[in-house]
Amino acid sequence: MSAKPRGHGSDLMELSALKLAGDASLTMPEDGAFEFENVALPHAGGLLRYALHLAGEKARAEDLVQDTLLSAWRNFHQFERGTNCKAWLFRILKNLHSKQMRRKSRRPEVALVEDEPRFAIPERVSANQQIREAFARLTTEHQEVLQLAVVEGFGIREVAEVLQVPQGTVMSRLSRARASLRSVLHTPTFVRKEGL
Amino acid sequence: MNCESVQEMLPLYASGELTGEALAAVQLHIHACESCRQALSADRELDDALRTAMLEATPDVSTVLQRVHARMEPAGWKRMLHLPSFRAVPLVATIVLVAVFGLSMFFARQGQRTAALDAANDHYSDLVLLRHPDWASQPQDVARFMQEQFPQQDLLGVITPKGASFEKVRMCNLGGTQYAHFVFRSGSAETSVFLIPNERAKSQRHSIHLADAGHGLEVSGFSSPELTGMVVGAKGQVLTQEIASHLARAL
Repeated sequence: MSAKPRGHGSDLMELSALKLAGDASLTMPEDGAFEFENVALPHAGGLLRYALHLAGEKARAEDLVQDTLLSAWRNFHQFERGTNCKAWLFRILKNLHSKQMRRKSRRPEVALVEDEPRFAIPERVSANQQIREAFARLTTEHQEVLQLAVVEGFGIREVAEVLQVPQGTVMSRLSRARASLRSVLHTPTFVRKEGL
Repeated sequence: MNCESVQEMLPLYASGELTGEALAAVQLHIHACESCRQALSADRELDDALRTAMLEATPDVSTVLQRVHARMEPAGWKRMLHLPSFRAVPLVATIVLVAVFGLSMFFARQGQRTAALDAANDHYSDLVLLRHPDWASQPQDVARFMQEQFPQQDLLGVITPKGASFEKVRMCNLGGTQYAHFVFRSGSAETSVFLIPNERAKSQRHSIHLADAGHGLEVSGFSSPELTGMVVGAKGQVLTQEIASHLARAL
């Protein structure tokens, strides 16, 4: 079977998102369930990590991942075989989230004021816990670029595609994010982890 | 190239996306400049620590997967159930035969691509995320491994890419099939060779090449009369197609 035209454009993803909302029968033209389960579903864990970062709350994050995977399932026949499925899924998720945010901004809600950091700081925590707490104190932009480039292992070009910003922006943002993370880890609140 | 421009390019270098002259220039500078070497090393340490910490707290995704599975419906079955009469039987039989043949070709091809992507993921998981400690690297362990897995062949010398040296080997699971994962090093470039005897391989014609298998990696498959396998390496740094075609001839 020949490769099909690249279906990664935002038009496609916006269309998917629009259809997804009111479509009860989530079927796709070809029975690609076997392939979809082997190629796309293994990335659900990474998608949920990223969704938690974007949505900030577990139930919303799970909904976002569900919408992403079902949208990908509907449009899987347009996914170009042999290209990076993980990056394709992350782009869909990012796009769906942006769409939700735009919709939300038209219907303003009372925002929850978050004075305290998301994680309480116990007296004694593990080194990994300290790093996660330091990460949680970074700006959303810095968290996002570190999550994609470092945790999920995307290349600079792929991060740029997911975030839809130039590669130069990703590189400078990544450098600043690392510097911020070091800075937080080295503040007196955090016990310095050897080697960082 | 000065330190400032090298530091700007470090993210691309670290992710294996630099190629050609830029890669050579950065490598040359890092080799000579202690400060840039330290900066790269510090970034890698920080990245490793962050990755480990975040992956340790990976959330349970089973609930979402159950919900997704519940809403995924194969379209074909529905259409088949609604066919109006027996007049459609010959047509259906023809369609089914063509579909079975087409799907078998399709899945064979997709199976190769999936295996190649699995190989790239395993290379990334084993060599970047360092998830597995069960490598054989000491001579006696390697000899035992080779005796158990490939008793008929004297493989190591044949499969070692030109200019590289053998580093370690372990068994890994690619889509339910056990492959031997050999790692070779040439400078900073790591090459993975995944091998399986033909009688244990699901498909024996891994002639596929994926120029972009994610994580800045490329994959080339090969098969010889005895063995089937894949070669994985960083794009632009490891000539996977060349190595794969050499292995197809040599094994």
